Amino acid sequence: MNRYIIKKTLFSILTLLIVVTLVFFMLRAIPGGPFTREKPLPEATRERLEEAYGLNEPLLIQYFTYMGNLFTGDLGPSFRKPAYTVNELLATGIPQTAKIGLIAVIFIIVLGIPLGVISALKSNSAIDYGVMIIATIGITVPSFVIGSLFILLAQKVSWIPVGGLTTPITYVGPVVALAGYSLAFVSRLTRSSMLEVLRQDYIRTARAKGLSESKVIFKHALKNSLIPVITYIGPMIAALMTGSFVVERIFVINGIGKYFTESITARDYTLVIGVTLFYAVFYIIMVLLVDIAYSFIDPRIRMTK
Amino acid sequence: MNDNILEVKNLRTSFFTHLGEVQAVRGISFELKKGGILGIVGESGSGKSVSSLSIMRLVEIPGKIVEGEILFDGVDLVKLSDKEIQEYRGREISMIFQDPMTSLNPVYTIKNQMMEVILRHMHITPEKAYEEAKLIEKEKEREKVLEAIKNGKTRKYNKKEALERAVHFLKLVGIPEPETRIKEYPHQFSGGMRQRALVAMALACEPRLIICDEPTTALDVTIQAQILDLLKKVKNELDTTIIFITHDLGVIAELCQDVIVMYGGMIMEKGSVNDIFYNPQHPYTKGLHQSIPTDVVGQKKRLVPIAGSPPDLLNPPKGCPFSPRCKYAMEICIEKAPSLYKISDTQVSACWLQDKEAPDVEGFKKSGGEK
Repeated sequence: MNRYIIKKTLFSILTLLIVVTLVFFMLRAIPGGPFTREKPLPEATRERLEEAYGLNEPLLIQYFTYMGNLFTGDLGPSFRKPAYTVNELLATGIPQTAKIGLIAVIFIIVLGIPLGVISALKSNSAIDYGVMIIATIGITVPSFVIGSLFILLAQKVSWIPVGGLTTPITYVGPVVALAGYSLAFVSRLTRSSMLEVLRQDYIRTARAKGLSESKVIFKHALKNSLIPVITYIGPMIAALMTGSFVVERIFVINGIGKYFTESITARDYTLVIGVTLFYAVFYIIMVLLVDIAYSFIDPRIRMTK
Repeated sequence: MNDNILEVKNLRTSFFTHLGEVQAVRGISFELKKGGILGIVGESGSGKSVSSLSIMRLVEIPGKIVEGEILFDGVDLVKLSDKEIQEYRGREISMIFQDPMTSLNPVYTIKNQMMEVILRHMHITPEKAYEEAKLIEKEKEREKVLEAIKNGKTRKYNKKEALERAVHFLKLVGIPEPETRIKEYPHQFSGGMRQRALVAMALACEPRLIICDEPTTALDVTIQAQILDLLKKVKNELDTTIIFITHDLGVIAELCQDVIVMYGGMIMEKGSVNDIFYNPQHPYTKGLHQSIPTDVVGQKKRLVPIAGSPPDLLNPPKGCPFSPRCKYAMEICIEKAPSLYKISDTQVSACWLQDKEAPDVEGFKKSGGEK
């Protein structure tokens, strides 16, 4: 097990190096740069700026300088927000995003899985149809529509502030808009997986032993049916915790989802790499956790290591 | 009290699909004596598995027992509540299924899966409970326990006792080093080993009736023979009763005393092993015999398959279900299903050829009297 984790960690570091390298060179390949404006800056000003940020050096030198700084944990200055370093921007943005993301994740797990289980157990009943209709709506309605509806509501009702994260009530809109799709997806996935497992022979064996229905379902069926759900939830957590540009834009939240999109349009090279790196690290950690969770649930996976 | 452990009376089980009612079992009746091995034979879709699942009340939605009684030691299992039938499953009646590869839960150890059935059902013997009660110091508590023992209530097995029992039964079914292997997961067991473990689970509470639903079909031939020997051995050791469902007449000949031949959800013929093998009185049973390969070296003989395919149970024929494939079929066969004609004290056959008005056909002796 330990050897497995070490191996995985080494591979993860390699993956991150590749991600950073790719993003670095791809960004430079896009036309324009951080100091390109609609109304061009005077030649001398631009040259001075580029010199200040080291952009006049050959590309490879820039790359190695950047990587060198990266290994010391320095993500460099932001090109477009000169007052801040990328580290500072991430440090302010991540908590905002993660707060919403974490609540959404908890919301999805606590609500989505039980709803799926109930639908499966009561399959083809009114409850099942009800949950699945709502779930289908959740999957098809995009987050900006849900978000906009909340803003509309907030404008009508005086005690809900429009935008920002101040009182607890202001969290409702962003969380629902962010969680909607995944919540619906998780409950559908749990349902279909549960139905599949309930058809298995070992469920019949468990019933033939005289076990109570609750033991058959919660001991024998649930653990098996959670395997595909966990596969989805891992990357989902990474996606939600790293924010959504749309939701952050609608609800005026200064999270990294917003930084990400803005930094790309602004060619803020260092910020783009910083956010991408954060995204990748988080994603890799979640996938690793999913792998470890698998081995706890399914002994067959444990053996193949 | 008679010595029949199981009496099935006019059992009907159907599946209510969106296409309509699929009548899987259409009114079967049989008795099973204590200590016997009854074989139920028939091709796929003849209703043999559904019959056995009906006895366990394990027919799943949209299936339902429509009619009939299943008397187990005088208790009608059909009328029991879900809670009550759970007390019977695994304790009084247990079942061994066809595919050992999928019948064990992959995410729990053999130990876990064996112990759960023991912990669910097993209570310690009154003698042991009495010994324990004597050691209780507080008088009030002791009286309470003794009173419970008098009423036939003893405590359930604890984990240590359950583990001992599980190991004991794994040893009985021939799993080597059961103390260590019990901690393994199903995927670490071979197919034959898994079936042994499933047999051990079925035996663990010493049920009075064990239903084996094609337990050897998914195994290769040498393992099949081992499992059959094992079943014979445990039957003698535990003095239990077995229903053995198969489509393999060879297995029936080796293992069973009585045989039921099913087709299209009905019983075609019923008798002792000798009756069914040496004096079959139903065209379907005869057809089954002709379609068995005989392994005489050097002798080349064509197999005679039964032409046609089993009836559609969504719209079952109103006459004898076998009539469309039967070379002796008469008009009445298509019109009306025959009742069981008594051939001898042990044998009955559901065939119009047994009727006294039927023409004489070679190979079928008319015995007259309807049962």
